[in-house]
Amino acid sequence: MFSRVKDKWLLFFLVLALTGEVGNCYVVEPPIIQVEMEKAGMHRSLTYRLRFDYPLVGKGCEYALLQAFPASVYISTDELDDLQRLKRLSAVYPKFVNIEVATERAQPFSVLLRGTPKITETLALPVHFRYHAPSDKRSAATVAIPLPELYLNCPMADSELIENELVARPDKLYCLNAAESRFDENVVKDGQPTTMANLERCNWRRVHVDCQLKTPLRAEIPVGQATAYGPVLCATILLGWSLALWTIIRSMANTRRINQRLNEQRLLQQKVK
Amino acid sequence: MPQTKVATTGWQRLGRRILETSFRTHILISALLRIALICYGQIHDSESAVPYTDIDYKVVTDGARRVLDGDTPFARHTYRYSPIMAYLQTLNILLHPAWGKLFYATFDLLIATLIYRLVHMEIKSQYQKTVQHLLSKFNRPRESDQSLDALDARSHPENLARASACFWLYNPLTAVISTRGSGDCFSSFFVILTIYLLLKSEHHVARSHWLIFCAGLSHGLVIHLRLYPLLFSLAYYLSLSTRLTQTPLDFLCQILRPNKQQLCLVIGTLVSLVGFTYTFYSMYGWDYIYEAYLYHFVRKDSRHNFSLQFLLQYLGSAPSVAETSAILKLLVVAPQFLLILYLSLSFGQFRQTLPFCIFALAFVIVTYNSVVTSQYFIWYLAILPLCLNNFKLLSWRRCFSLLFLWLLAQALWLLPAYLLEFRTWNTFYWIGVQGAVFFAINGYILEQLLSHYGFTQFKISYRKLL
Repeated sequence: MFSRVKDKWLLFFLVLALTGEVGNCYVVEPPIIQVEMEKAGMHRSLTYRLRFDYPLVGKGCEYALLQAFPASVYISTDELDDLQRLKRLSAVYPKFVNIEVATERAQPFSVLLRGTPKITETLALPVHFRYHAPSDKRSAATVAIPLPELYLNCPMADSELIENELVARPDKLYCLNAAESRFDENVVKDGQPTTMANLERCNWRRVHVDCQLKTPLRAEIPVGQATAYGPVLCATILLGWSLALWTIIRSMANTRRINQRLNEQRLLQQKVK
Repeated sequence: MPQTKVATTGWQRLGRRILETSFRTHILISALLRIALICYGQIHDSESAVPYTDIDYKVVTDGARRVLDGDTPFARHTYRYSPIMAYLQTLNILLHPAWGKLFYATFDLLIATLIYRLVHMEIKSQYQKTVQHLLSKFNRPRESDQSLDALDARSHPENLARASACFWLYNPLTAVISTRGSGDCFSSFFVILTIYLLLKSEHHVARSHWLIFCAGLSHGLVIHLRLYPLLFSLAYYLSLSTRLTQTPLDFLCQILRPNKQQLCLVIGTLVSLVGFTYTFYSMYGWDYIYEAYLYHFVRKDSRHNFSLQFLLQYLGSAPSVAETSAILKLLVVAPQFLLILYLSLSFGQFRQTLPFCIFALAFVIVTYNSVVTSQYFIWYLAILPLCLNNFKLLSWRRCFSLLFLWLLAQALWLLPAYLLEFRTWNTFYWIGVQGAVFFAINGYILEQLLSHYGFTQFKISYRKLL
């Protein structure tokens, strides 16, 4: 009887000890990001499915997904404003992106998608591709969108939540530059006041992510043939002139008749007066 | 067959009922319709990521916000309008975000009122002139007859004016455009007001100079607002002439030796245009001149649109393509100016033909423009109701065929545009070809309207007249 009770206690302590051991050895898995882009069109949506390991969830941390875009992509700031207003997106993006210029005259930029870590979350970012200048050599241009980077900012007290294994550059902290929608390396300058706000702003760490892509983030954008410019110019001039002259010739008789009748009326009225 | 007959009778009865309803009732129904659309827009925007509200409305509202903050509206990127638009929309912030839409919808209804009054006045005047002309053939010239007894019901000014106004009021495109918050109705109102005042000046001899001066003020304002009405100036000017211009020398004399009325128009236009431009220049400086005026000349947008010149502009943006010479550029734009000159000289010399002349000019400006989008169609659709009576030589069948052709050309253009934008197919040439087809169809429609234009299409009972 005594032996049975002893065995039970032994088993209990063994399980307890093992559980404790497991708890101490638990390594936070790097967040997983599945990125998907619609297959065709100049107007597409980038979908990000984010999965955070549970120790990072509900601890007051904040994440920012930095998505860099090449010059051949643009966002409509008005469209993103609307999405923010409808609470379907929380993002930091440039105040103005010129949507009219072609790729060759545009600048690359980045967008930050912000949120608090959840077990799973899906974000959608509408993006648009610019026209490319016509070329003599190619009929399509390949636009590759780089993989996103993930930054985490946990409260100063909980900074141990982000373990060194998770951090891409353990020696570096980053500051959120909202005006430029990017992260800048935190370089402590002498004389700079160390306010709490500054500390919070510059407490971002870049973390490792497991990026999973179903298909590469590439788009084939059609390009016109520049050699066709000459014939198109001739055709445009010819068509414009032909139609204008045809319109004039065909309607001249009627306009002459109308003006004649109206002139008769005018002369008659002048006579009556 | 009997079913078709019943259906036709049903349509005719509906048409008759619409025409029998008073103009005030039509205005009331249209106002309610527009209020409903504005409410729908508010609900739609609060739910959907694809907004009902026009993007320009948001830009102007942001401009208004800057004005209230004591800043310039041009501090808002892509604000390229007159500051007047921002001032008008300040109540969007102070009162309610839908204020501007309500304001533009009101102008939509005011346009209908102007159409109604203008067509009424025009038909009555044409009738009186025709009667006078007819009587003179019977050697019975007399002062203009005020009685409209000799007219049949279909040609009665009241009915024609009401039908023309209804054409505007129940046009879904115009109702949607104004309730989305587009300011096009606001500028179109001043185009029609200018025509109205010029036509009215013919019947009010005592006040004619003041009316023409006011027409000039309105014309100056609308040039300040949208630039394109500048191309109507020659037609307005010539419509005030007292004799027919037939030779280039006559034309030169008209330009160099204006009569009193023409002077009033020029002075009115300059006072208004220079007044507004100078005031805003002194307030906002070079930013205003560049954004509101110059930007529209230097803008290079080679993205797909209905214009014949789209493909040319797109291919011309290649770095390997040398800058086009000034002569070739002139050859591209010259047909538009040739037609503007031709139309101003052939339909702009009499006030009776002025509404049609302005319609044809707007049609040419849009068709030959380097960028054409659906919103530009409102430039001529606003003036079309003023000329409906002039197309009586065109059968209903022909009218519907032309409308069908116009819509078909747009649908044919939409297919390659969709394939490029949403399927990333290389359809640049296809879009170029469809743009050319749309251009040719527009040219054909214009030719048909010009060839079938008639200004005295009345059925007058000679028995009643004599």
